[in-house]
Amino acid sequence: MARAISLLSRILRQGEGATLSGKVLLALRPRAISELTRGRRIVLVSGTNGKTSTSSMLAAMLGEKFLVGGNRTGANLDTGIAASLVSAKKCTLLIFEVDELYLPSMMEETAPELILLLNLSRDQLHRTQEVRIVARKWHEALARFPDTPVVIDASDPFLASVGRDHRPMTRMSFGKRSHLDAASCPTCGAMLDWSGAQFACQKCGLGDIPADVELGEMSAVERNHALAGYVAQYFGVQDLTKYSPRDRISTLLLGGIEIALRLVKNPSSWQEGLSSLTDEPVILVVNARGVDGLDTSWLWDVDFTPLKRRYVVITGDRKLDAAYRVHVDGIGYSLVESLSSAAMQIHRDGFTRAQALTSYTAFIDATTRVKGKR
Amino acid sequence: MNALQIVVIHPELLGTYGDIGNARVLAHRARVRGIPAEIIFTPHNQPLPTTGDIYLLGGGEDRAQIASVEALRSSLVVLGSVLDRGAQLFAVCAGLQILGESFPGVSGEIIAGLGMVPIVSLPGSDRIVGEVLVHSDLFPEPLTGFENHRGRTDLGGLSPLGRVLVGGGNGGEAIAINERVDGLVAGNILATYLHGPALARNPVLADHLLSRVVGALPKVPEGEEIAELLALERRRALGAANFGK
Repeated sequence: MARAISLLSRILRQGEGATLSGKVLLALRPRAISELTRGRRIVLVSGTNGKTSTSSMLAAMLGEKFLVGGNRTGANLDTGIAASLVSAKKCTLLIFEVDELYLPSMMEETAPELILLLNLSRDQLHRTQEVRIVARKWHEALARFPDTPVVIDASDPFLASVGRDHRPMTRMSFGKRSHLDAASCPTCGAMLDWSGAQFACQKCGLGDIPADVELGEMSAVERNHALAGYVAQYFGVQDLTKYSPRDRISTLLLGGIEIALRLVKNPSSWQEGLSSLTDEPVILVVNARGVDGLDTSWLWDVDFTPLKRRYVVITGDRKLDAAYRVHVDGIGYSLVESLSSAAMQIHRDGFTRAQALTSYTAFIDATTRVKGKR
Repeated sequence: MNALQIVVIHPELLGTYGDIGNARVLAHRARVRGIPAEIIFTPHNQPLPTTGDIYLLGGGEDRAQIASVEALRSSLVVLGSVLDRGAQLFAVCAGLQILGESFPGVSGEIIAGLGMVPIVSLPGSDRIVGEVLVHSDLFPEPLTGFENHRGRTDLGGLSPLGRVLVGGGNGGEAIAINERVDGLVAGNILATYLHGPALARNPVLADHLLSRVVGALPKVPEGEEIAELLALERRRALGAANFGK
């Protein structure tokens, strides 16, 4: 049946077909994920940022030893996971990146061998509501899987809280890193003490458990690379020297220039994106459709001053929100109607390359164009 | 000229929805008119400054909201006296609820508010999330914003900021749309459920607050049109034209 669905999906020409076959499969067999994963080796990867890039780094590392399957394109709801199972019959290990809200149910469905949690911060506030609610749901979910090994970045107070009483737990730490949502303790609500070498809760003791692996401060992609590396070693891949940290960056040729597209979707990934800019012109593409988060207030939680004295072009459905935001930070910009017009303008001004920070839907639009038209 | 002081109360607790933007916009719109302005961030473990001109309370998660109200109890006298001498208080969402008699806690329990206004907030059956369009008699064009709250607020006879044209506002869908209102206006207190941040999306509202402190404002200079363009685009996206004035 799975093959029939896959064929159907291809006939319907769903471009990437990332979720359609999954929708059909789940409609016909609601327990398909559970049925198709039973008895197989499964790793689940979740977190607010870096799920897709970390899963693909991990897939590359584990590809040495296993025939690795899973959802590699960012379709991380149940439908995307089901779709990836349609063609994963021969795979010996499945790595699934899972949306934060779907993690508990996907744990139930797949009974994973290991869970990797990357980070947790405010994201799509209209949908996930409060990050504390997500943390509480994760904590409850882990309690139902007391023997499942979990690997976390314990420098994130929310993950430290999620994993506070889980036994098979590997805590990796990456120095002290401030957190927009963690003025107060994710576990007990008391104010966190950030004055020491690491956060600490004087009331409930969050942060007291020493890390199993202590690494220094590094960028988000390097942290995720290190976390993936640990998981790869867990599965017996020892030599990781040939794998380097990779971000979710796609290159697009458009309007005569080459654009490096970087997916940014919440304050922490925007800040990370802004801190890793090169000298090339910058295009901001800001949408607020469903998965992007309908509320654009977060623009004001991001420090845009790294854009100062740069060539900045803004587009996307909510370009005016973004434009006013950067204007108040004293940054000059031009507004254009589309990514293509941004490229043409930059080309006209004599540049051959640009970098774009793009909302989720804009990133998918642009990268689908790469696959579809070239 | 002394700089206009904009005080952000507990930014580490009540800043979940880009609330800091309200302070940035106020300071920006003052400065472009030649009025020096400074933003003072007052975390919960520091005393509230007594010299502020505009005090801002933002939105936040349940526990942060409770931590904030606990910290503010000891500053109640300060807050009262600064308002008496003409300072303005602009409160959004959780900040609005804090000012009242009570609001719902983490599991629906009743938390005592600051009691500065006779309003009561109760938990609703679900969260109200989405774009909002509000007609206020203070302004010729409707205001826009984004709301995301579970609490429902009864104004206890106070004047609202305006009438809800699209969205939930204080009462949500339990109240007929033609009777739905948002926010409140009481003396030097102005409060709303509108995030966005509200003052970025509604420059008239920012200017209203500024003018209550510094008097009549000159027009913003050239180069500031983007604020009005954004406000207009949001109003159009919400179909403001369909509602007349």
